[in-house]
Amino acid sequence: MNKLSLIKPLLIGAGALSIGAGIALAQEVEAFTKPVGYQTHVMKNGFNVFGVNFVNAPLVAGALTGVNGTTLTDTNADFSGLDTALQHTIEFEDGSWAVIASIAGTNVTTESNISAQVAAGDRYIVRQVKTIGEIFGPENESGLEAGTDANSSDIIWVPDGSGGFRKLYYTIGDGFFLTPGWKDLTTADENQADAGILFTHGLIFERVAAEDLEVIVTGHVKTTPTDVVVDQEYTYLSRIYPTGSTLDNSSLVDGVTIGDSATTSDNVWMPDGSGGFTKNYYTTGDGFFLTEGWKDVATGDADAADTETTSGYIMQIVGDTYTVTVTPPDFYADL
Amino acid sequence: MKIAATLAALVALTGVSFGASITVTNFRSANTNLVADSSNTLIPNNSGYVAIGVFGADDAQLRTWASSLQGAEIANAFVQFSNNVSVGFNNFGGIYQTVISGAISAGDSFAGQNVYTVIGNSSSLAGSSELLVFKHNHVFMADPSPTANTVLMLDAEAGEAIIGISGENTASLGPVIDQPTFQTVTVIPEPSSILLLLSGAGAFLLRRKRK
Repeated sequence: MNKLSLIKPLLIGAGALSIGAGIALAQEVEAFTKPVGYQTHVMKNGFNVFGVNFVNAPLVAGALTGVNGTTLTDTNADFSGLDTALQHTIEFEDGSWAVIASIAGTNVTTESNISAQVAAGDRYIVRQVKTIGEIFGPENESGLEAGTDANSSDIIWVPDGSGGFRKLYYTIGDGFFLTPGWKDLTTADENQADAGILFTHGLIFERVAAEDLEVIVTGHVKTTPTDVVVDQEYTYLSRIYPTGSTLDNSSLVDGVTIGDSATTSDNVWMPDGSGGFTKNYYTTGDGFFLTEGWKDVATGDADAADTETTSGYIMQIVGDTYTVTVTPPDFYADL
Repeated sequence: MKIAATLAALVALTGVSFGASITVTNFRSANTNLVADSSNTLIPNNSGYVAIGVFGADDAQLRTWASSLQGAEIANAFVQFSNNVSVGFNNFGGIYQTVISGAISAGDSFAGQNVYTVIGNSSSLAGSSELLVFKHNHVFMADPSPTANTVLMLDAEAGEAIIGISGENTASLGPVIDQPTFQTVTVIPEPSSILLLLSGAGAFLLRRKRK
């Protein structure tokens, strides 16, 4: 039977923040993620690649009693309390996860078929996907530049899964066509405050104002591995874990294409804070100048394994697409 | 762990593409420039044709084709980037706003070329008898600049109308009064014009035959 567990705060940066439960729990849970925290991002004029390294609190947890294609069943659970107007995910301890497409009593149907990765008895949690309104405030409490239209507002670029982006912004309204609120650039005046941002997605914050903006993002910390699909030539990814992740301990090497040079290997583009990117790659070595390992394109054979990954980064692939299980730092097991 | 394949190496050496996501719009709230036809009637909601791309002809040639009503030549010379959309925003005609996404590879038809917005009065370019061709100051950017392709605004400050009429007239749209318009112009002879030309030619030939 599920039980309510205590939330243990995670110290991140200068302090810790315990998040009050803003979401009604569908049932009491024993979650395999508990810590909460916050993170400050500085958005500069122009384009800022970043990731939301937090998730929402688990709403339902348990163990599957059945798996049939995209239908996952827990006869001991009731999923009917989930708000179907919002996006949810179901996650497993080994990193498997999927977006929930529909809910019916003790069943959830997933958008992608993960039946090959999960089985009856596997423990799971269900979360509501963080929304743009939750991340930046339903009324733009984060203070994004908000104008009368998209041209005068900061824009959040969200990967659409096909190599493009949807563009979300907050408008103060123009008195004519747009009412105040979160909008999708392509859907006119529809309220988009509940637009979901998947925890694996890296984002672009397009800052139109000249001055820097500090954005504080809060939430729960995911402590288990996460399957990440790298399916575009340039895939925008979130680091997922708020602190401690490096090129080496993220296990990215298990997925990337590895060659004897930067041009024959996948490149990890990480924003350098000055509008550019550092590029890292894993090489087999070339027998002359490069030894095997993680390298920075700009620093020759120096070992870059312990380079901390940024909150969001771009994976540039030179070969096949793949799914890699990104792992949290070891100390997350103690959180 | 995967080892790079020969194919992957070739891809890396021959250039890569980036999924550009370009905002294409004429909407700037109360400062919008509306799109209208040659009679300055706003192009209705969910109609018309809006696309971006490049031309395989220079601007002078485009103007010549337009003035000689050779719309088919203009259409043939246009290389469309990704998908096209209709005019319409918030159920209003005269305005449009969308995101058009696609790959731009170094050395392809688009990279480094000026971006043109083409607006027609029908749902397809070939079916449009009137066109507006707007040349943006912006060029399509290839990898590795993931953020170079951003907003394409239909605005005199962002480029110029190569074919069409800009800023000569205004139109009213809902509560926004008398906004400037960009107008399409006729690039294909209308049937009545064709009939007039044919009848004129026929009369000429008949007259010569009688002589």
